[in-house]
Amino acid sequence: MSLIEVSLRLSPAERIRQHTLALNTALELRHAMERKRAGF
Amino acid sequence: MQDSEGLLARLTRGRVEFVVIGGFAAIAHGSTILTRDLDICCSLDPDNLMRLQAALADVHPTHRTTRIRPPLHLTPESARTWKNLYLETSIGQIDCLGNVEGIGSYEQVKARSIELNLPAGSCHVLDLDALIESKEAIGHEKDREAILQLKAIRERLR
Repeated sequence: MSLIEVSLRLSPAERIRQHTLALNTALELRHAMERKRAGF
Repeated sequence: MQDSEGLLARLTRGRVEFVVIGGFAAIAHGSTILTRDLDICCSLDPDNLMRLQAALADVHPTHRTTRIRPPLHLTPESARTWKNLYLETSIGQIDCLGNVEGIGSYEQVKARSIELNLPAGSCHVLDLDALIESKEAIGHEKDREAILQLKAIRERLR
């Protein structure tokens, strides 16, 4: 099943909630990578 | 941390007249893209902009596009002069636009929106056809994937 199919099974509010979680996880990963590249 | 739900909740509770556009509208319609800032089209009526300022007061909005990032400080008089506001808050970025490329003014955008019920209350989101039209009119390379997804969703929903 495609990601879009999965997304369409959710309500708009659930899609926004999932996006917020995914975005914040992505930002945490990016910050962790930046810290690692900086040698911390 | 970006808390776009928190921004939406504040605008809804603050009775700001707005329509969600851009990437967040795409997500509401089912797109799987990730977007960092919340884009809204809002009424440029000074009363509405004063309500927007009050709604965001506790998250300390500043003007994001200037180097010194001054705090948002609208008065009923100065509110008449703004066409767009590009803001940074303590819970994320929000862009407030007076019109949408390819669609038009706030009134035209609202006429092509749908009402969604969110935990914080109901809010308007640009409808799927208008969202595709606006992204095609803007023509950003970064929107190409979103347009493909939105067209696939439109086909899927027919």
